[in-house]
Amino acid sequence: MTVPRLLVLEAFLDEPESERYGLELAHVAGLAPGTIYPILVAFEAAGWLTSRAEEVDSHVEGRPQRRYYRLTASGVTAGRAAVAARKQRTRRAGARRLAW
Amino acid sequence: MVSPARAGEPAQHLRLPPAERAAVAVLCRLLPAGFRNRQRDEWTADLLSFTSGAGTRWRYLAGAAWTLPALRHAARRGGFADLSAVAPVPDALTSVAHLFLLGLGWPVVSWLIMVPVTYLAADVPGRLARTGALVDPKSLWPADGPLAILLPLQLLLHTGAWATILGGPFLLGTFGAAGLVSAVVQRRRSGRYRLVIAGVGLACLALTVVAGLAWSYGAFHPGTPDLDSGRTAAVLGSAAGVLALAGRRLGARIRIALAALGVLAITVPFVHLTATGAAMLNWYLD
Repeated sequence: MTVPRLLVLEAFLDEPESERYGLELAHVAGLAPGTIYPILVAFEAAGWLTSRAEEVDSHVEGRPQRRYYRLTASGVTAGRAAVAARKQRTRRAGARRLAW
Repeated sequence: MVSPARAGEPAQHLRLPPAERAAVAVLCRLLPAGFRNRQRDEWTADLLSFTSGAGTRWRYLAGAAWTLPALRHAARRGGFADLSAVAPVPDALTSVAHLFLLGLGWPVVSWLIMVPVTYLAADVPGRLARTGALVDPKSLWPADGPLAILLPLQLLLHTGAWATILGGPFLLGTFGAAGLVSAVVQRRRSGRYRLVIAGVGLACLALTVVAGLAWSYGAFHPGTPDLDSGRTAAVLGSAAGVLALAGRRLGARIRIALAALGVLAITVPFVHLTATGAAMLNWYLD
């Protein structure tokens, strides 16, 4: 699991029930805007996310419809496991460093 | 990040600058076809949200370009390449179309080449009038020296032409052979699909062998039915025409080929009904 993916998962897990769009998530996760979509699409392909098109009139909004992403139940479980595993590894690495 | 001033304005006033729109279009072209519209909307919506100038938008596009291979890979892996508006052609419909093109195309085109085209191109009526001797259709093909390489083609064309003329179960045999060829060639299909197609092809070929044995028996026993003379081909040609008209989810080229094949197949028995057609049929059978 790469760091950007973990950051995206953490951003989702802050509010697991909420829907977020790509650019918003990139800001929350601290990723460069424009680089988040491969992660979202990969998570969606894995069944960790669902997405839906925003229900707005694009002419009124002045932009195309956004796509909102939301964690699925399996995404919450897998995401929490991945984040926990990462934290555990980080703690172990920290402990080893302290031993030196 | 989102400009409040932009909300509520008509979309045409909020289009991206041409260079940025072109960049988005290029990036989208590099994505799977069924995924392009979705991602174009995502990128465009994001870019239109930026109020901090062109530099920010170009940095965004650079980031998108940098991660494009990963996005392309994820879209393909996730099956998002199939999200296109056009539904995929059902396998069964494509298979039937291919079977018709090969199973009917081979005999009918063979008949066209070996009977009318050869008859007219080799001036068979003229030769008959000049010499009075029979002109063997097989003798008109070069078979000496390096041209012996054409013998398999000649055999293929003769087999096809005979299948058209004999019709009935013999055309079933060409469909069976087409099924076997499809099963061997279509390596991207699942093993189960190829096995089914091969099984159907083998069954058709088995029926043809039985029919061939019966026909051989009948050839030595008077009172057997006459030659089909292309009537079965015409019926199958009509079916190909219906498939071309009704199979709207097939590709344009396949439908055109089916229509052309249908017209050609329907023509066969009518050609045999004309004086010249009967003469060329007799010449070929003799």
